Amino acid sequence: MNIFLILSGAIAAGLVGGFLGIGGGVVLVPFLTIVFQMPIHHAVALSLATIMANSLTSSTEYLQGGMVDIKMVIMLSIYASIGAVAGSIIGYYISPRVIQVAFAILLVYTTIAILTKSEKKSIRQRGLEEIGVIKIASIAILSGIISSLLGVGGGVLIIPALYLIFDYPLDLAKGTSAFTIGIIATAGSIVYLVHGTLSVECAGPIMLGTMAGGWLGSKLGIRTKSGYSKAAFSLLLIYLAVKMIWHGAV
Amino acid sequence: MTGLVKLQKALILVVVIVFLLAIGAYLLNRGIGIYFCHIAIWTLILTGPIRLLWLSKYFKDKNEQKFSILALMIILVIGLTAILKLF
Repeated sequence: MNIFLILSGAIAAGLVGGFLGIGGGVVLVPFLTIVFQMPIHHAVALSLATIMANSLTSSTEYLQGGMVDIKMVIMLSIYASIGAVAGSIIGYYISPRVIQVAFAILLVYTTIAILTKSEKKSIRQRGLEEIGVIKIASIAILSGIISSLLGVGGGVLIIPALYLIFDYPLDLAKGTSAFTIGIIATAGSIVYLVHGTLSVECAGPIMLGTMAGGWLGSKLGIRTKSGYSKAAFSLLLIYLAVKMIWHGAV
Repeated sequence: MTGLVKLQKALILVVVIVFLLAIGAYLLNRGIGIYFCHIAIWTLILTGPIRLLWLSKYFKDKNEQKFSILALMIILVIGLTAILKLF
């Protein structure tokens, strides 16, 4: 494998991940499977591990900018981890195709809601007590279940939930998500590493590339106007929705 | 949160050094390199629980016992999830 090609792909994945507050797997998995013909489960395992690396660098930048709600991180992490366990059990009983199509519809709705939401509505951040534990737990558990069932990063659900339902400003939602996804990815990475699915040989350049990209992406994310972030995030959601419908229908 | 920022910066430095060492070792000797790669990934994995331990202490010092305990519970849930999925 060409080390510089891997490095550039990892930097690109980190850049997207850090900028949007998601893992970056949306870039890394297709890159590894198409360019290097890596088996999908190995690519997914590496992608999950890179979420931790990306989260470490990008959340540091977001923390410095005061864009992480640490109490929300704790609440989301605990319930999303429980949701991930529930997801692995539910996966035995529900067809992934049904979930993919349902999730795609949810993504389309979320995109429309994000694009049409007035910026004024998300200026005031609500406290945890005001939001309520049940609401937070429901969103986090759902996010954990869907992440576990479909292999999508929790950020894709956490950011819209924080922004649309809890009225968080988009930057704060991105920062909070960037921190949370790194914690949620830990258990899965341990499993992949112990099972031997995580290809440790390519891990070095991929982790370093993702960390560098995550650092750059989060710096860019902090400086970018909210409107551009909204547009970029909506594009990502549409891409995922089309991908889900395609996989669910074929 | 400046303490957490400092901790994360230190963790980034450690992770980068360990991965650079792993790449160097891999280029010199594949067998030893893979051993170092494993160490590097475990170092990265440990950054999550280390951050949570710091948060637990932070909330304990602020007399917010609920969040202090919840931060520790996340480590427990991560461990249990990994064990459940492994067996």
